[in-house]
Amino acid sequence: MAVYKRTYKAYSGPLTPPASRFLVLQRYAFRSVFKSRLLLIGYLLCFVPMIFVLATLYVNQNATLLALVNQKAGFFKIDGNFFLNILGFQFVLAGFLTAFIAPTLVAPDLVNGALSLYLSRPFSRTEYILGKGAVIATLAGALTLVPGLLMFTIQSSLVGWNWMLDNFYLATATVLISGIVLSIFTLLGLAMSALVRWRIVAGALILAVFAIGKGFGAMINNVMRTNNGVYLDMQSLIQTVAQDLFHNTRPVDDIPVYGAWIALLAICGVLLLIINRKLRVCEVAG
Amino acid sequence: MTPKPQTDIVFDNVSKFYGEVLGVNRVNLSIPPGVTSLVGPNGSGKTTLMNMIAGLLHPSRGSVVVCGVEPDDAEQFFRMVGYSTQYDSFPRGLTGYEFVECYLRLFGYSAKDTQRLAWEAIDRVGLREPSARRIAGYSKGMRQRIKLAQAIAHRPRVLVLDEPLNGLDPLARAETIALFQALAAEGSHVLISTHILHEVDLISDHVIMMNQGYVVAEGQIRGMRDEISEHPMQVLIRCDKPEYLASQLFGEKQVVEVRLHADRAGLLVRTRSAEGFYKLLNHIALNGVQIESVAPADDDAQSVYEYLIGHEESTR
Amino acid sequence: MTPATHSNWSLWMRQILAIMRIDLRKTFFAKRGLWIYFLAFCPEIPMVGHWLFSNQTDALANDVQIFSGIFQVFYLRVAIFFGCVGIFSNLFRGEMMDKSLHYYMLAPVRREVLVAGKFLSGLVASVVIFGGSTLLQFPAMYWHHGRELMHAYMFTGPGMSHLVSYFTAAVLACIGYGSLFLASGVLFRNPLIPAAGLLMWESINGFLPALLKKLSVIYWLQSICPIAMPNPRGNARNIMALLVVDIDPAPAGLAIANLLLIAAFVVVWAAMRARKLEISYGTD
Repeated sequence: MAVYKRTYKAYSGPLTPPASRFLVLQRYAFRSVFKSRLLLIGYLLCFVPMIFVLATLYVNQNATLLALVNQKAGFFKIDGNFFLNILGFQFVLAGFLTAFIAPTLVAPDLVNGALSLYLSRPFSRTEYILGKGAVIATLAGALTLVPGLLMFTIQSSLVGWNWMLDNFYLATATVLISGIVLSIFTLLGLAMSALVRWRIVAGALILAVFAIGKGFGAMINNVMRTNNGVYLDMQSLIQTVAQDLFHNTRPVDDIPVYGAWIALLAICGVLLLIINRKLRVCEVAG
Repeated sequence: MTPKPQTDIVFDNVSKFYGEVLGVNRVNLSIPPGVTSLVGPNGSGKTTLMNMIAGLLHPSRGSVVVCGVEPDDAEQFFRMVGYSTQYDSFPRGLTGYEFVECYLRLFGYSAKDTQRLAWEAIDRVGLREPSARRIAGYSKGMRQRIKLAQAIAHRPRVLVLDEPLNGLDPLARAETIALFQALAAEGSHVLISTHILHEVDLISDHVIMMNQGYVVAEGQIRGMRDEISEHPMQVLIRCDKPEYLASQLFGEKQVVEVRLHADRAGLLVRTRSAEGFYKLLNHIALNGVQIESVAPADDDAQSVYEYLIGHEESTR
Repeated sequence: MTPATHSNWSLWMRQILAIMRIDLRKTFFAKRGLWIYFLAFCPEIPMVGHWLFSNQTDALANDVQIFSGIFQVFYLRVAIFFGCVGIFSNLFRGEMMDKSLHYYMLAPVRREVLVAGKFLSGLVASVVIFGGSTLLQFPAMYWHHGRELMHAYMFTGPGMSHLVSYFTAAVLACIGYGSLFLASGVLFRNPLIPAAGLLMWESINGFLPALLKKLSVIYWLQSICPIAMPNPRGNARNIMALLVVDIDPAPAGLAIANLLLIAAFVVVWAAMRARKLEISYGTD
């Protein structure tokens, strides 16, 4: 009898259900991301401004406290503009976070040949991308979507039912804008890491995409006397969409809101294509 | 009287530290021409030692001089030294020939000489046919051989090879070993690191054994074995009267242990003094024992390694 | 077989040419360097697009202003800067990443010669790419004004001297930034950290006191540019406005001499440090 027949016993215990198997990757990825104490401290510091904002919301409705400084309750207005400014700042933090963590999740797997180890298990490429993407989305979402909804909930609880009904668009706007921004950050992080496979360069490239897009867009606008260059400027596109969602009336670059939505979705599509092409196990002789 | 030219690779009290981690410590060696094998477990400091010979690392203390030249004198030093490293990496996009040729150009040779030397080296490692293909498509063994070609292309006097037999098939292995021996016969130093101990006996004139950053033994295997007094020497004897021979040997002081073979046609003797034992055996043989063969059982690299390093490894 | 008949200089020249032969091939034809071509030639895209598809012709003076803005804000500060990061950091640190630097170190080449050879190959590549693009941008920008007007601008107006100034600025940017990124590749495990620091320093250059302003590359480059940077328009106005700060330009001759001096000093320093360079490929 061959040796393996006497010694080999296949695993017969319970398996993680296929639908949630990508979360295994996420669980381990969290551990490795926060191995860096510096990153952990940096991440925790990102919550400090939000804690301050939430405290301010409470104080803003506390008549007793405000009376001490001769102010009435609700002395500053909580509206779309307020949400836009706070979330805008949090999105910047989330962008930097993505530039730091995304390359550490993917680039080493590709460089050191670990992706083939994942894919030699009952684990598909889609699950790998979902698992890694979920890490970025969860961490960045905790900085943007969660505090945004928390602001809305706290303000509603402090002011009342009517405020909530009147301003329900703030909650939907928070969900929609966070959804598109987190999708872009996640896909951008994965795509750039898979594209250059060099952790350091990938981090820089994630940030550079915004700067180069802005510069190139401005160049098109200036040379061609047009506004269409804005379609290459992700920051302006997000701003255009966000201002519309939060009923903000500040002047934006003159492109239609639907155009900005289409451009952002197209960018997501392009990033997905890059991921599909570059995040794969293959050996090319040449 | 002109001073005798220095022909050895000399390590003078060399230590190398990577921060707080010890690479090698207080190495004093003088390696003569011929094939020298460097053996030791992973992390014992073999590659560090080789990198220092080739000037890729600078000693934290002490100095390395190769045939009278220090690595700082790059223009003289690297005409004399060829190094095939452990790194299985190559510049992107090059064919085997281009890889050998383009780095030969750095030596300042004319285009004609460069081409001639490149082909000569490629032929020596038997890669002429695939040399027009990109290295990215080579097998592991072919990559090893093209690295070897690159290292010998400028005809160095000192050839340093970090695990050069890894990934080679048996035929290529035999050819490569023959190449090392030919180079050594031409008067070159060939310093090889390897894990395959039974080949050390075949290849090497000298052996350096390393463990945990220290040189634990150097020289010829037989000499090393003689110095290991705590392990009695083992001798295999095949004869017609093994029981009688065993009874005679039991009474002798230098004999530590005698074990009969299962087939009752021979015995294994462990003795404190090989020389004394052989004399004794001659004496016994004169008393009517027909001795078929006498062979030392543990004076090879494998046994010496086991005694000097293996025990320490297993107790770590 | 040893080339003992060569004098030292002749040998070093041969070695430098051999290094350039290897490195130029890598820089020009590497797939992963395609983004550098994009950065270098992306200004041509809207310029040619305007010429081909737009029938709106503005005064040539406006285009001269726009070109100046694009060159100083985008081309010098972003395109050439990041392009030089890609080309020059790669010369040493990229080889470290590919674990192929030891092949150079095992050749009988003095480290100083190796640094010089690598710097020259980076310089040739960057000048061909970015200098070439600068020369192409000029006709691309002004072609739609018609042959006569362009001829007049180039040969009877200030066009040719502008072109020479912009080309000189592009070449000097490659020399200046190239020397710094070559040195950062020799000295730092992660050359992007000093590159980010330099980017920051160059960005705030306009706000610095006169003396500190001069401790940068962009100050001297802007001094060579023939036209002061115009105020940006459109969606660039917010962030770009930060970069548009009036500078007190130095005379062009002094700027050129200073840049060459800075670059020479940095390359010599890098060469001295390269003597101590060891091969210790880590994992990334």
